[in-house]
Amino acid sequence: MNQQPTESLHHNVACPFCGLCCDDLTLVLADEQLAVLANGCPLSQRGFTAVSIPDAGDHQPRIQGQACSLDEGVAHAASLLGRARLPLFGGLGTDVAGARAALHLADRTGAVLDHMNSASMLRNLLAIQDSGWMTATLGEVRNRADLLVIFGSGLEQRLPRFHERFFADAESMFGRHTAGRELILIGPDAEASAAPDHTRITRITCPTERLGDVAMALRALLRGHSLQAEDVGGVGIDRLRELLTRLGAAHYGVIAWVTAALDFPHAELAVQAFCELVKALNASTRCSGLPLGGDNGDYTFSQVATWQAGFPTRISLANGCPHFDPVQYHAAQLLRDKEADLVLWISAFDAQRMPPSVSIPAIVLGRAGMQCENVPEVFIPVATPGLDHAGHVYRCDSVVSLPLRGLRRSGLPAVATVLNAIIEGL
Amino acid sequence: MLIKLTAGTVYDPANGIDGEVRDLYIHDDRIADTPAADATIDAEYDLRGSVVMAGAIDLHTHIGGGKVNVARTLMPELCRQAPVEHTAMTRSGCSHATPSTFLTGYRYAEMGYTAAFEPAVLPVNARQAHMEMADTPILDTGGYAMLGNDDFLLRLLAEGAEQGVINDYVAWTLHATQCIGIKVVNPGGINAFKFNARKLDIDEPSPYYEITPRQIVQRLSRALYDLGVPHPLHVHASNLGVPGNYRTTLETMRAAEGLPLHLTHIQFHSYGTEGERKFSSAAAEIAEAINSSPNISADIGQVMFGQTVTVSGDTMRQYANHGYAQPNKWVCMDIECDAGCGVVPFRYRDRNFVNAMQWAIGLEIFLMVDDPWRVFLTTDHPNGAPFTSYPHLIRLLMDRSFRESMLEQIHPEAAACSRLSGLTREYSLYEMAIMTRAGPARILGLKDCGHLAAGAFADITVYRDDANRERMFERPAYVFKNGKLVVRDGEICAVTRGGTHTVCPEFDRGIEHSLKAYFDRYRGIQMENFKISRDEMAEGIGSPVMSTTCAPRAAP
Repeated sequence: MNQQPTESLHHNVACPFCGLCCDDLTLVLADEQLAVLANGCPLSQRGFTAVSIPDAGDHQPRIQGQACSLDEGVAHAASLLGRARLPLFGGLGTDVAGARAALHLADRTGAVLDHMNSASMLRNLLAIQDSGWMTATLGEVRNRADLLVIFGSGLEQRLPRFHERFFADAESMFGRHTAGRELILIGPDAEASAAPDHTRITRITCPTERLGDVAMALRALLRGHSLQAEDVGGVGIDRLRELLTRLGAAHYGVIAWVTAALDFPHAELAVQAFCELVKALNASTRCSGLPLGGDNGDYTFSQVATWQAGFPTRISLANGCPHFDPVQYHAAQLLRDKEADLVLWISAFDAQRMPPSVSIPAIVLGRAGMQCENVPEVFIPVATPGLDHAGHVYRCDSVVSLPLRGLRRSGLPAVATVLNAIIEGL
Repeated sequence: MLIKLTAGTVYDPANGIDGEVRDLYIHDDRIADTPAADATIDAEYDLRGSVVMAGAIDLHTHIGGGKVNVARTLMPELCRQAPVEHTAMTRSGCSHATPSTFLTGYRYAEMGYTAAFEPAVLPVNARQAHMEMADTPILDTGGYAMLGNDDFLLRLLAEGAEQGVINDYVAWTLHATQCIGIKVVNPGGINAFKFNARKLDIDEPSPYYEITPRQIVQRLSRALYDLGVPHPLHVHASNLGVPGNYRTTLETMRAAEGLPLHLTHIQFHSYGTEGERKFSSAAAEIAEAINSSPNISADIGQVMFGQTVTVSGDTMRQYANHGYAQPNKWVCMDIECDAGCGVVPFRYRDRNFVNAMQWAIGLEIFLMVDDPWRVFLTTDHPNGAPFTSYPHLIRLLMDRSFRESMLEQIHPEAAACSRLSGLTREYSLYEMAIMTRAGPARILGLKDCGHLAAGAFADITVYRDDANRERMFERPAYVFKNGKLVVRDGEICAVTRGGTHTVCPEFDRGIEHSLKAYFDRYRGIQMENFKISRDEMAEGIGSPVMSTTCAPRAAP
């Protein structure tokens, strides 16, 4: 074999591996293997290069661990779904087309849908459902924000290029970057977070579960109430007053939170406290909220589910029409209570996000290379949107959707292709 | 496939046909001439006694794009109240003020509508708008891209850019967003709100750019005229909902300086300050201005009583009105240096003076504007009311005694203030066909829609004649979409997929040099990824493009 290695460069590539969906990457493709040449980050490096292609073993559909054809896998999945009393669709890590197909299949089979990131998503969703919010998109923050408060830690790991692209290093058309923007970090690891250049940084240490209390105290002070407490979450009242002065003096303040970091019971109340503080500040100046986070197509799924079914996640179609219940349709609970009798798990972006360990049959549409702990009834390795095929994903501001490209020919089927074939086979 | 529709009573104003008994023929997806005598008729429908019109077209209805999804997210209780089960043919969903996309398509088709246009497409959110509309079955759709609050245009205006540059940018936007028109919402006001301005009058320079709303309306209406885009600038004027705003509305009409201009949901912009409550109808002044200005058209944005949720790009006015939110929750978003989005739930009540006046003002304008070609039937769905209230609205316009009985039920002082009881006009079926078919098709430049001559798309609605016009327009006997029977007796019997109407004005692609530099420096998204291609419309998004060409126009 003396084939010439083929190599091609791709510019302006959009990356689906975190909620920023950066679309300025340069990738090189050589022998069906991708490498990030410019504007990468740890998440995109891992996402674009995780699985070497081609590896025949990774591409093999299987029934009960035994090799089968794609058609056989699809037919078996259709027959399992046709017989199930309550199928549970979990994971749901996919693009717009995959989400459309999953909702269609769920409508046909009376399934419950619960995205793998629902717990985090619901912190924001329950807050909106209860009182609404005022927010800005990432591009607006980049150009207008002169003060950014971030509640919660871990942003650098979850959205590695946030400061580079949307705040500290980013050029602003209103000159915010040249003046030096002000950054206030509030969270358990505030002292440990790296300081981006070109900002004046203030660090306030506070336990995660007290962050909502800090926001509520700020709002109370803003409204002229006096507080009996001398500190809130370890933050002194004088410090809070000083913070409030800076928020009030900002031309365009932004109050952000790292949604996934708010991992404690009823964290939606903390999100609500951030949002109500934003609303109160807008009585006299401008300020916007900014939820930060997202991966595995969570914002994508909730957008598509909302326009197709009216609800964002934890939806049951078992009665023939959509019902939403964040408690009742929690996947882990349905499995624990043995209500679901079949799992369909989808994870096209991340081979490490595996289905829960269950005793009921599972159909798994996993990114090629996924090694399930329990051998599923049906395993179909699927293509990854943005690498193997074109598609669309949403950024974490829920507004901007980016087009993904197919950069290589993996021969793997897209999630939508598999699900639509299953629908045909029902 | 050749279908004969026999002996229906045809109302086809685009071709001057006013209630004539005629046969119509459908060949595949188009209306056909009378075939040769020996041609095989594959199917025949006996339509004696039935009313035949082209499929209806809604030129202003919020059915796609992020703000509708924000409304759904904000108001799960509305979704919960009205779940709809799937059938062998149709998908499940929720039918409320902002129905899920599938139900939007089904409900529109069941009322005899075959096309609908989303009027507030944020350029950066055009993908989502088209994806939602692609998931809206049966209907053909289209969108108006929002300009006039975007920092790129305001920078151009502040730099004193020549009209030709503005024209190139407008044309580029229409291509990049796959839209059929341009809308401006509270010109400059959404942008000013980001600089903490809370109001912006028509001749008030905006903060930072120091551009007035009047200048924005002038430059954009000029651009669309020069480019030969059929649909005039679609204007949501300044000061929405503010008592006394009719003066702003009249000035906005004048800002066009004789060029075509479409004022949308004009009911919300026709308020005076007379009376004890300092809130009154200025419908007479507005209608008179429309009647005397042939360059002006308007849709109404009729208010109907009940719960709804208002969705708008006008963050400045939505923020100002958030205190009226019912239930008390609302969303305002500043979006991507393009525009914004405000969502505020409302419950219009017939016993509330202001709400009752709003209801009456809309009807007054409908009845006082003489030319049905320049006024369009809308509720600004869902802002005045959900689109499903159209049959009721049609009855209000066609049946004076029904209107009188409804007037007796509203707030008595509002009823006493209104001129409505003195307005005797009843819309005819011919006028209704103008307002809901021929007129929208003409003002959008859709040559093959909204009429029944050979060559047109076979989008046809057949109603059983009924003195109760609400019942008549609620449940058509038959609806054909592109020649396929999709509704029988008011219920879906087949589901099809529509396409997207767009325009393709010519322009100098040199504008992309400055656009690319702007994207690279400020936007945080690449220009190449911002643009939507025709291939992407057909494949990933799922709504193939049907394009109207534009012939550039010289100055009048």
